[in-house]
Amino acid sequence: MKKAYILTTALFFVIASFYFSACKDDKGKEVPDAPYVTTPYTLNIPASLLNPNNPLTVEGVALGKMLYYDTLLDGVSGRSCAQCHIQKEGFSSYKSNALAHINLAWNTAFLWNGQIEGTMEDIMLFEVKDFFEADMSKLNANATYRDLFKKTFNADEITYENTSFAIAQFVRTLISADSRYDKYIQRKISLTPSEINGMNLYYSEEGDCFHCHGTPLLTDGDFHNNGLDENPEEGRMAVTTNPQDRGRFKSPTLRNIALTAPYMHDGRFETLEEVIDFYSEGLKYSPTIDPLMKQIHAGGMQLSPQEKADLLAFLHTFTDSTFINNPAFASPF
Amino acid sequence: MVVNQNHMKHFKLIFLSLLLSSVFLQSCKDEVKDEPNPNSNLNVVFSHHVNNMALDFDTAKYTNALNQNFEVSTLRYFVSAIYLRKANGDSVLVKDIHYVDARDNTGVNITKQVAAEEYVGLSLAFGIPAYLNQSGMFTIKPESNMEWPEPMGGGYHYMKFEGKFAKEDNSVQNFQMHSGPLMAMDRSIYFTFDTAINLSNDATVTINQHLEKWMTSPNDLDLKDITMIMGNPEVQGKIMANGHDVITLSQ
Repeated sequence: MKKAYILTTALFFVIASFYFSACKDDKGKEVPDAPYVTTPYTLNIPASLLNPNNPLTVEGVALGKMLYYDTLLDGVSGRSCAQCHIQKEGFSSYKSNALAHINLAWNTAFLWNGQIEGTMEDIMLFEVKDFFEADMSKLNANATYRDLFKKTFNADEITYENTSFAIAQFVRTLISADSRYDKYIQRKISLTPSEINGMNLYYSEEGDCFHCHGTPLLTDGDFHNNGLDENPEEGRMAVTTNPQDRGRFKSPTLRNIALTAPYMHDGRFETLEEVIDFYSEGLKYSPTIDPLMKQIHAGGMQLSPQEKADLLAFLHTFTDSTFINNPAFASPF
Repeated sequence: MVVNQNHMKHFKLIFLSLLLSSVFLQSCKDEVKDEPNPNSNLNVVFSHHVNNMALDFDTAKYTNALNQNFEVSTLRYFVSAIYLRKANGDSVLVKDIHYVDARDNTGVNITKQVAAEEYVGLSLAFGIPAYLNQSGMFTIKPESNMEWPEPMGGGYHYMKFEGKFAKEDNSVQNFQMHSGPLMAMDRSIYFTFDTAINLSNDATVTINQHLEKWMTSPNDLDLKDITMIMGNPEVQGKIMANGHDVITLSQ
């Protein structure tokens, strides 16, 4: 019995010493767990639009997508990003009038009045911390998320920062560039005569959509008073305090515009037809009216019914069915 | 000659000290070497004026040749092919295409390291010469927002100069002096300044733009007509002609 006890004790010490020696290097120092190695995620956009402090990884984008679709993120009322940014609605939502999450990687000022300026990480930190008031203890109590954050960021704790970093990675990948308009520019397809007429109007000074909704992004990302009201709301002025910014709101991208109703910062127009009617004959002068509203004195462009129909047809060419059906952007749940 | 061991040791120490000192002093000499710096910094400042006053946005205090009171809300433009010229005819590129937004001060300074010597002048093009003005070359803003639509020839605007003016009935109207490569025609305006620029040390040159001059000499432009002009070759030509004295250089 005594011999058995001695043998068991000896065996214990041998195993224990072997076990503990695995945690020490040659000099007897403890070695931390090897960090997880992540897989780089390749996104074909200008390098300056990426954040070197938050390099895209396959793991980060996947984790960001989970968080984007998960109501666990909301510390107050169980909402998720995806409830107001629905893929089939161009990552916007009819019920919330939220700005669409399309090609946000090119943005430097976010929300209708640009109140958050900086990087995608900055706006996502605002969303996580201030909009959702995310309860980090709930996320930290979730074993799946703890494991994913460990594997993505080598993080032992889930924080506002690494949560916003993950969501920022996913939202950066939401790129729409495969509409019929894109295919036409690439000379892969033809447009109908009505769409061509609408395009020529769009890119003319008479129609003049392009100054605020030009470039491949179909937005200048800038702020304009487009003549909605004689006494406009504060708009950008709420951020800058400059009275010249009264009534100025961000130009939204027109990519997938047919899917992103309602329109304008307050969602006052339910259809694109109403929007075209507004620019045709509904403009109102106010002291901060944008100089680009060239026909403000006439109340608008005074388009004919045919011109309105052509313009509407052209706006529909911005719908990107690849984007709204891309499984890479769809809910993982 | 008999040298005792103490002396020998003493000489060795002195020799060693001298050797070390020479190495040490040599390395010090390298660090404080007082050779002339082969390069100097050229600072190029972009400055904007109306009626001999510094440009002030959103204030209706300016008058053009037709006595129209106007204010300025936007001034964005490209300057290209900025070269320093040497007496031997060689040129040194300072910047190929440069964007300026006078409202938010984007691009109002350029610093370029150049060989420290005397230059005989500076040249530039207002706008973007056709050989440089390629659609799609800018993929991020602000430069990308200067896009000139493909149906009008493509490329990028040269200038967006916008504001408001008072009409005869005192009502206010917007104007938009947008110039650019309508139908891919090069309407850049080329300036050559034969001004000695001594860059034996750092120096600053200022490129001054006098906005009221866009509206006169030789063509007096009525601001009522300076709207929706991008597709109008006649007005584009008049703006180009008026531009001959819009830029001056000072040091």
